[in-house]
Amino acid sequence: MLKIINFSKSYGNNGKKAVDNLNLEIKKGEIFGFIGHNGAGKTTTIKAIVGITEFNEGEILIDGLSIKENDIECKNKIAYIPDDPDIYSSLTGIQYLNFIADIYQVEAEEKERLIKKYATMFEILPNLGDIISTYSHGMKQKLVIISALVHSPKLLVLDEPFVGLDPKSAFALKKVMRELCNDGASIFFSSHVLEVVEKLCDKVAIIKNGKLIKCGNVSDIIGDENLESIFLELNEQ
Amino acid sequence: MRELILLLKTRFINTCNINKLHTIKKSKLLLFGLVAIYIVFSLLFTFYIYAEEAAKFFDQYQMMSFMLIIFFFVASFATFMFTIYNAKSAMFNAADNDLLISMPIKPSIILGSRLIYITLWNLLTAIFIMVPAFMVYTNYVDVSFSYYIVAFVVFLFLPIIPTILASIIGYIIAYFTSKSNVKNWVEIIISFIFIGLIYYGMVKIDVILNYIVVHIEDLKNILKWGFYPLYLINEIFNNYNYLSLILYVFINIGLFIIFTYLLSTNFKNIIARLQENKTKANYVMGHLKTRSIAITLYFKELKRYLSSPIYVFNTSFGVILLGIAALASIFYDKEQLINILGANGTSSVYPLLITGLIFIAFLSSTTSSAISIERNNYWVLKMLPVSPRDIFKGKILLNLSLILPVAYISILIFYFTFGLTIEQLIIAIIIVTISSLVSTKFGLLVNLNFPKLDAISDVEIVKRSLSVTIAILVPMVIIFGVSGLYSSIEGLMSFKTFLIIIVILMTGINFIEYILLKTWGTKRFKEIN
Repeated sequence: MLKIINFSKSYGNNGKKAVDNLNLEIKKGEIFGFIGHNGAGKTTTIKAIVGITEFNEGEILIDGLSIKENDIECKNKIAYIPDDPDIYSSLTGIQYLNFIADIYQVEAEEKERLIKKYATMFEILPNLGDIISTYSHGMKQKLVIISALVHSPKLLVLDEPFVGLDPKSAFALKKVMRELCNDGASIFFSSHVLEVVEKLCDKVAIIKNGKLIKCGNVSDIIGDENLESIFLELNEQ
Repeated sequence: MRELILLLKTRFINTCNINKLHTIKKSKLLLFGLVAIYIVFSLLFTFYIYAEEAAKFFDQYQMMSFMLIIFFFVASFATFMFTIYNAKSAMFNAADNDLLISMPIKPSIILGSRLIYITLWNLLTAIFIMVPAFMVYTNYVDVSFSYYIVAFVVFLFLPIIPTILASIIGYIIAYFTSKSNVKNWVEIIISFIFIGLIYYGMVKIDVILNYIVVHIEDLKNILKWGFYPLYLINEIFNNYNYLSLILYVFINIGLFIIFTYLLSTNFKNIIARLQENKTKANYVMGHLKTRSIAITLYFKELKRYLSSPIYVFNTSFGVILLGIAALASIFYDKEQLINILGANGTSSVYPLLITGLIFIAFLSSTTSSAISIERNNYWVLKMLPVSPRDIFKGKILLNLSLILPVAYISILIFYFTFGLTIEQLIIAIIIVTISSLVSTKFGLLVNLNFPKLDAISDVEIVKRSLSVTIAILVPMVIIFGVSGLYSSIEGLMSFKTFLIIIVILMTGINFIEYILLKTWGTKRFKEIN
């Protein structure tokens, strides 16, 4: 579903690489965790996958299509949830959801069904008529999550999705993620909450200073230990 | 004092983006510099001309000190207007409120630093109005060295009272409208009332000046009892009354201290009240419809546009003035209108109309800030499965939908009220359409080249960004140049022929802009981060 091939990204004139020669593959139905220290290159990678950041080195394929050459087709299959839910504050919640759903050309009935389903699940349905500027951070996060789910994506890319979510909503999100994967979708997400990554993910990749230092099945990587101790150990090296 | 200086310094570095200067290419910096110099000199020159006209008038009646009062009033009014927009975000709803309040800094220091900062920026604005006035004054009145000292002191304290008044009114508006859904419309309406007053003042300037001369003694009393600082200024420059100068300084400092103190005692409550939002939390899902991508993008642009009073105000007052002029032409006599427009008879009305239409098309560009206005939401557009061209279309369509309907109806009204021919009507419609197409695409190209996604407010984008400045200035220079060119070749070519050439040229420019947007624009949209 997602193939990252020799991906590198530099910023600035000094050519310092934020991500250096990254290679990853995420299969259909997989939940893939992406962890690393602050500034390791996680968000850079994620933004390149969803077509927000341009890059020259390497390739990123979504279901076999290049994000560089076929960006619209790729984006039609992707949903992205950023770490900071900065969205149109002058719209109401429902207007924002309508906007996203209409861009993805979701049919009216399906749109209604999915909005109702997820808004009820995340307990935000009564607030959809209010302006987004009145929402708390957690409410905005929930709204962005719903907007990502409303067009039934094949690949869900999330950047630290559990930040700001209350425990009930965090549980609901994990449940939704599992359901989507059971339906054949793939999930690629970064998180600092290693317990969640350990429990939820099929595979995990650890990135350090832009380079991939470990990648594989969660069970193979952690062995008898836990992900936190493996992560700290690898970062010390 | 240490904390005050620290707050001012940090605010300055943050709002002026000092840390980013070294990352800007030298060529861009040079361009910024040249544009800034051009704007500075244009404004100084414009106000110098106004000051000269006023001086000639007041000199006849030996009332030169009143010339300074008029300009002082204009500068205060401009300060007041700009601060009303700024006050809410800069004084009360600043992003660093929580941070600063949680630190061991007195609220009076926090507020004082913000007030000083706004006042300093207002002082910068007032330079363009007052410096020419002070200079022109010396052309008509023999002044000693003490004049310069007195002028400097008076000027230094000029923005304080209007800033304080605007902060109070800005807060009141923000407080009452934050409880309702109409806050944006209130700000827009107030802005238009102000601009209407300015326009009315400009049109009736002769009447106003004559009124001042005839009722000078009554006005001095009104100033003394109603606008005491202005009365003091009159005393300062008329009689070099140093007691009045000291009193003037004390009043300003005193008001500053009192205002800061009163506000700081209630600072947390004021902020809390402003942050209260009206939420209903009672949404019931109804039947939803699906729109096409084009319509979805258009309505998204429209909602964003209408949510920003400064954006609406800055880009629509030209169009609204056109509409008002058209309606006025129904009620006013044709000769009266020709006088108001300053035209030399009926034959020059049509060229004036055409120039006005082109002017308004370029003045009303929403696209010159359409990329910047996305600010932190830019990622949403980049993430969506929509081509940059479709996004551009939404932004261009918004601009056109704001200009063209009003323009077409106005032209139709002028057709009847000024007795234009069918040919003139058709040409006017073609001119305004093609000018609007050129201006919207030009604005978008400029904004793609000079985006400002890190602005902290819409005011910064709409009023102070390079792309907006270039998108207005470059066409203005060209329009003036072309008008001047026509004046010099008037005898050699009919106006109709000249217009046809203009239409052909603009069609060519339109095509070039289309190609640029399709190729460079698309690439540039993806590059911006």
